[in-house]
Amino acid sequence: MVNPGRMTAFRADSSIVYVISPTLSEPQSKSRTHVSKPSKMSKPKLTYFDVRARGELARLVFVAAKKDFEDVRIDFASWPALKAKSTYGTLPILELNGKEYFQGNAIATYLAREHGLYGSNNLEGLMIDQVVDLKEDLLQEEAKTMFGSDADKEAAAKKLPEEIYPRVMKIFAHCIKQNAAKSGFLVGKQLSLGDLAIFEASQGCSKNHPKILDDFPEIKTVREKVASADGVKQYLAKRKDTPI
Amino acid sequence: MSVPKLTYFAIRGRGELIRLVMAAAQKQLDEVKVDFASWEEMKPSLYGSTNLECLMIDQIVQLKEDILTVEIDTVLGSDQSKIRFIHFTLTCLFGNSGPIMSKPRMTYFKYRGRGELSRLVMAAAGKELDQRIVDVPTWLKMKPNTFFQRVPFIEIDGQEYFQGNAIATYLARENGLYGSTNLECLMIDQIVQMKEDILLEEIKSFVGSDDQKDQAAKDLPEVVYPRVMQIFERLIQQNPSKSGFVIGNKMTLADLAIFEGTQSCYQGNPRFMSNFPELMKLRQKVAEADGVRQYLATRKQTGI
Repeated sequence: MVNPGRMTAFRADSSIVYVISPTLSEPQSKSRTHVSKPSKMSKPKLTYFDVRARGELARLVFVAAKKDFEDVRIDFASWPALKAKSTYGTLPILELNGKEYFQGNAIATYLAREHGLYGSNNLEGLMIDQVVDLKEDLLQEEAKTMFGSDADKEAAAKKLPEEIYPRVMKIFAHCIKQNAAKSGFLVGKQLSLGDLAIFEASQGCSKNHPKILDDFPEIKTVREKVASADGVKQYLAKRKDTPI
Repeated sequence: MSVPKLTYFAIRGRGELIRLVMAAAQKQLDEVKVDFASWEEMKPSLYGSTNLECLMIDQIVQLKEDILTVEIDTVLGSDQSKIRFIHFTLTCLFGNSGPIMSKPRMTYFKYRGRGELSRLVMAAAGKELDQRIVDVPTWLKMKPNTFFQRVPFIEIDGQEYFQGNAIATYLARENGLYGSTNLECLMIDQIVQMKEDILLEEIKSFVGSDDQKDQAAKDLPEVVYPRVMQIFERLIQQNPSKSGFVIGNKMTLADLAIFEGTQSCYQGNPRFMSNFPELMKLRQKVAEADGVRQYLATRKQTGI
């Protein structure tokens, strides 16, 4: 049951986080909880549902950069009440030094730039951005398998391996091949947001239609590089499997 | 960076100084030596196929004349003059922006859709955006032969890039219309992405079944527009510089995104928009900005 004075959320490691709303003057719970204290340089806090979708890219940037953050996960049932009180009405939200920011890809891009994971010039930035935006397009197609009538969902599920995945994976592979450094990464010679985006975008395909990726060894290489990167490796080992 | 190519006769004449400069700089110069007879035939095909290409060629031809002028100076003048000229020529050829590169060209429909933000960026920057406007039947024929099979896409130095917002962001960065700190960039990006969300809702009123289109047409004024206009209004109010722009004290991509993101709503229901005074003031500031003003004066209205 959700107490109107606080927001119940689940941390990534399944411990419960009680986040106190500003209307309460004192924290209520102590053991096994973490109370958010207002402080000048508090840890960044990312709030999203307990799925990958639009929050996972920012989470991956944090772990790849080995930066500590609060990974707050809201259950869907609590959301309508919170939404009414929220600034932007959408998730994910990044709280940074008392300010809120929204739009998952903007957040991920900001974090990537902060931590040297955004390429080294404007053209590399464009290359990364187009891959992140394509990931977003793909997510919308994948989301169609979860909403709407049964007929709609089935049609969407069929379209993914027949049309969407082959087309999109081909574009990702093409982008990787453009990298003059031939490092196996999307841009330059090191991991960037672009590789994390390709990893995330190909997750559904890799899980449900892995044979499609056999045609795109470049993507498999990126997936391996991301999965074995320090920080990411440990995070993925504990990550729950979610359909989206 | 490609190697410069000199096309000239097999004499010293007006080409030798260029050869000497490149030799002194130990840089490679590709050469095509033509005889006088062949030149008469080649001449027409060696000029540009667009106005811009002709301009780029003309400026090189005029640079050549400058070299000749300085050549005379160096013979009659001091060594300083010679050094300055060599430095000047090398800067032109290998300067910060490198050799003269082809102009980026964007391919899109005549609609605003996902291309307008890039157009507004270039207008605000006072730069021309080379465009190829296609109608839908033409696009459907072109599509299978393009790599991404999506518009808009932009060609930059022989390479194609796509995703309208990525392109607009790149152009904004190139032209000083992006943030000056990473945090400003985040604030700009979130607005650009919200504009995309608005467009997706607006598209629903154009595509899909009649039921879906009706529902979307209802959702826009009842749910979507109130929510997003409120957010834009608040963001503008929260700008500590109180400049009237949404970020900092000058126009950025974010202001253009708000302008473009509210365009369809404004076209359909200007009275509703008057509920958001800061937003209306920002629209005014953008519409009056140098470059944008001239662009909007000739822009044809489209529904999306």
